[in-house]
Amino acid sequence: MSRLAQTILPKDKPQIITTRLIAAPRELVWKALTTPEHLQHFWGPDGFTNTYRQFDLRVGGQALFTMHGPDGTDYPNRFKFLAVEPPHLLRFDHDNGGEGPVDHRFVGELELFDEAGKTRIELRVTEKSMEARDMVAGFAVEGGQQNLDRLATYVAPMAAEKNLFTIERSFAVSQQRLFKACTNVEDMMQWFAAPGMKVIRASQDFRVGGVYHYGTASPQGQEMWGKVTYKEITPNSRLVYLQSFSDKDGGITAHPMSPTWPKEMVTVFEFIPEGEKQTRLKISWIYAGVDDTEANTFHAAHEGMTGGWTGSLDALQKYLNTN
Amino acid sequence: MREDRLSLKLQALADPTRRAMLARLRLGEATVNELAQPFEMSLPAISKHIKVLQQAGLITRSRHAQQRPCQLSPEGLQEVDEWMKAYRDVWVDRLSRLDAYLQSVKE
Repeated sequence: MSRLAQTILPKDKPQIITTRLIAAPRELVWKALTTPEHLQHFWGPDGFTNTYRQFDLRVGGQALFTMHGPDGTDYPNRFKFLAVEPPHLLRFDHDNGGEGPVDHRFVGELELFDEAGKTRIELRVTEKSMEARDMVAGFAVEGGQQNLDRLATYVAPMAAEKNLFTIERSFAVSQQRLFKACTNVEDMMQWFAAPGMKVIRASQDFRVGGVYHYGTASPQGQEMWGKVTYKEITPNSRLVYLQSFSDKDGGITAHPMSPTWPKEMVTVFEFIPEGEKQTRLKISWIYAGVDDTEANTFHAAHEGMTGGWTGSLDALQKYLNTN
Repeated sequence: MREDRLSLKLQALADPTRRAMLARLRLGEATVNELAQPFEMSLPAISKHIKVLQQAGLITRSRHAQQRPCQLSPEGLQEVDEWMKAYRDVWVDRLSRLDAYLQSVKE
């Protein structure tokens, strides 16, 4: 989804501007950005979670929180709010609150624009100098885009139920075993592809930001390629990745059967313990893009699966049987 | 093109009013007025929905009768059903295989 988020590095201002269109109304995006219960799940780059200790949303108030990196490093953060104008502008001074090894000071701004019911968000970070900006740009550009993509993914199911589809199944094994079966290539080779399909590639780089590129061939020689980019890995409990159809070189392509199927979709695996040797697997697919045709195709397919119009198909079956 | 027809169908099915119309038509053919009855919608709006369903090939309309009643198109729905089945069964089958695999290596 980084195709949707974009970054501007102005030549004359020490700013990093990240922008993205989000398929949710402005009030909802504002709520997600100003509520710690929501923020803790999506704030920061891929793989980060947050613990909020204080969130005093008013001019002069402050937010205190710790960002937990995917490698286990903790980063204390403090926002001091300079402007709070619902539902469109938040401005804050950022520092580490006097804790932690890194003290990255900047002024942050979040501005929300209404675009026909969708929301254009602009995240503006103003560094102390052009030199400081260029020094952090290396990680801040990618991190800012990931942050807005995560926000979009988080609010998509809140904005419309149709952006979410879930299936569940319980297995008589431990969390550890099920997690391994769903993430270890040797295990996955045993069940992922349909019988008769030949796996022609399964190259996996299992880490946040890493890619799993796989290809199968049918007995008739028809090839199918897919690509997964890992976004979040919480061993034994949670796995988030971005899923797309692909070509053999890893380029993203449309669904071979349906050109309006979403080109990219977020997939969430949750491993929920139900006993020592019983684990429920919940898989959620989230459409976080802004293309209405893609959203509707995704929705129509799921309506079909959950019985929204299976009545028509039952009628069809009867008709076919009696004719 | 087959792909484009399928997309038209999925888009037609994405709308709850149109799905309700299909549900009505499984009881038998119906005129535009009969289809419009349950909805608080103008006839032109209803006609537009019918046109979308017709263009997607999900319903047909009789040529001869003056009322031109609508009918379900079994062929049209079958194409969607086949595509849906392939998609739906991918994950249902996958999880069944996972279950079988986990049981086979348990001991």
